[in-house]
Amino acid sequence: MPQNVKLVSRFVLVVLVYGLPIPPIWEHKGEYLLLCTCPIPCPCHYRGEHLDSCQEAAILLITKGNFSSTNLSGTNIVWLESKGKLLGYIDSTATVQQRTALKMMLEAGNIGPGGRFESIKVASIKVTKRVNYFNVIVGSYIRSSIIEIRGADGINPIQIENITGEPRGKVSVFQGMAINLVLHDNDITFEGKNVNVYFGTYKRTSKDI
Amino acid sequence: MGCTCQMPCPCRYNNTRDDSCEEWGLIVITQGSFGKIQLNDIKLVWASGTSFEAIYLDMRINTLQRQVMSKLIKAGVFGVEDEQGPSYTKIEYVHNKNNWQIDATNVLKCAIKAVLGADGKQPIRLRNMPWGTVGELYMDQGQVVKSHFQTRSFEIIAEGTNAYFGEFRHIGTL
Repeated sequence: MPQNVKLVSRFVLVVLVYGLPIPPIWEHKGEYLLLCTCPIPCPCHYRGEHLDSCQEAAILLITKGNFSSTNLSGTNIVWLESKGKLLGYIDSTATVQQRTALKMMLEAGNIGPGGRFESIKVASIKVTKRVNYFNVIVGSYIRSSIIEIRGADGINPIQIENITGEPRGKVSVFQGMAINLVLHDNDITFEGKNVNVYFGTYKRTSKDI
Repeated sequence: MGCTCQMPCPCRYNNTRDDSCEEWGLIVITQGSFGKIQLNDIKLVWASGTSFEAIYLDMRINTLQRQVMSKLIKAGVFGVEDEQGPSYTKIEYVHNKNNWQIDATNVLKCAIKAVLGADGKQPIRLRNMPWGTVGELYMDQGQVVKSHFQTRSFEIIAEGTNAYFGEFRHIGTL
């Protein structure tokens, strides 16, 4: 029997026994903070193109989520993006199963932009939230204090709808400002003040793909 | 409205107007009244910089409407004043989904396009933006394709810069 016929018949046999491979079903929703090194407002999300000078840190707090049968609720995940370079951070409080799922989702673009990550590290991800104020510490890699930029009503932040970029999915964006921002990992380094932050809630499911 | 800042204009976010930010715009009152005077379909164009302000009303409005609009402008209802009072010219505009064309004879020629958001269909929409002057309900992000505003005393030329457009509702008393 020719080699290719052998391979096809083997595939047909596998499909008959195990069925067609089904992509995992996943969903996650929660809160996010998107910090970058641009002044306010970051033009990248308006122009649909990333400036080389824009280094971005995205922090996702998954309030509810799952990847197949793995529950992801309460886990946090972070990624850094600079000039096409990607670095990922997975919550140190996540279980081994959750870490595996989060890593797979990060690499597949189910969370974040997807692509080849130079490294995906396990780190402590702490986000403290008070009224109109956030404090972020991701291991020794990211540190920031963030305030909301209040709008015309003097109470609520400026709101931006239908903005482009990450995190994809159903997002509601509010304008914030990082009073300070420190990024330090690999050759991504930045120390600055009064730079751009978007924050809000998001929802993304495998149906969005 | 358009301005000379790069898109997106940072002035409203930072609550400080950059000295280099010169603005102009078109206000179209689709439905309005002042007492018994109807103000439907009234158009005005305006410009504002650090050292100048100007307002032009559509020359086709009647005498009563001119009086009322002058009163409203003087009261700051439109956020711009003109010390000499409003001037008059013929104002035309075309709004075609995501594009605006404004032509105020001998004053303003301007084309603005919407900046589409994540859905690729609708523009990026801003809410709760500071410095609302006419009761903006929302502001959609746009970009100036090309614009030229000129009067005897100043000129604003812009291309590829920031623009906003949207709807407003203003109810008040004088």
